[in-house]
Amino acid sequence: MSDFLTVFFGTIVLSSMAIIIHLKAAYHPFHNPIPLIISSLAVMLTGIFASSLINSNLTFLDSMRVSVSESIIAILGISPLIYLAIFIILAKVSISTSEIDLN
Amino acid sequence: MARMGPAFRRSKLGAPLFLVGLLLTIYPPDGLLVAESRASDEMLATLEWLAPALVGFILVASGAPIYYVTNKTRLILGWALVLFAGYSIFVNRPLEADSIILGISALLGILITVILHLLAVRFTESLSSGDGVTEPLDEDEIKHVSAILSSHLSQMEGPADE
Repeated sequence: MSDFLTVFFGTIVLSSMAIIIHLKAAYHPFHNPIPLIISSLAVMLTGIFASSLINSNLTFLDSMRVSVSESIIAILGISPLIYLAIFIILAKVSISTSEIDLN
Repeated sequence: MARMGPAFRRSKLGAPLFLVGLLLTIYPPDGLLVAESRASDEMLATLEWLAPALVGFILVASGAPIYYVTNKTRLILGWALVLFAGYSIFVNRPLEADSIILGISALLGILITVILHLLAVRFTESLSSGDGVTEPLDEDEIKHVSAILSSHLSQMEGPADE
């Protein structure tokens, strides 16, 4: 259960980081990202706090590093399923013979 | 990520971020925790099949039939790479029950974060009062836009007449 929760909160931290980087990279003059950055930071800090409660023997920073690393391993662990999904979609596209009725 | 934002001011962060991530994956820094070293090794092992799979997917997608036109060379080369990646997964990375349970945990984490982010987007947009109805163009603006359109239309008609 501890591993499950460590990965769960680690993924929340990792996803929040990805959203913050995305908001910075996608910034344009007609967009105000500040409220979304604040909300993502709040979610990320909650995730870090929760993972530090689970790994109470580690420091705050180390518990974040461990939980994010474990979440990366977990995501990579199921990446073959993502490969399989894309494989099936491309197999369908490759043998697609649907014709357009021009009449 | 490199193509986000309006076309006149797109961010240039995507490619450098990708390169930094790739370099840190291939050459991890010293002083990593045990979990970080495991993650680094896992990423390197994943790259072995992910790289050919990505190139293969792109080749297959670009070589697949589009309006009855098929690029067979790309299709065959792409499928060869995709099948090689699949063989590599089958031999080196069999799926285990533990991986699937932790994967479900990771997917739940991603789902919760995305839902919270969407709620934050909805809340932020509800705060915006909006700009109201746009004023119609005045005489000078109508002349300016007409001049631009006429110029573009005459340029388009020119080469067709030749």
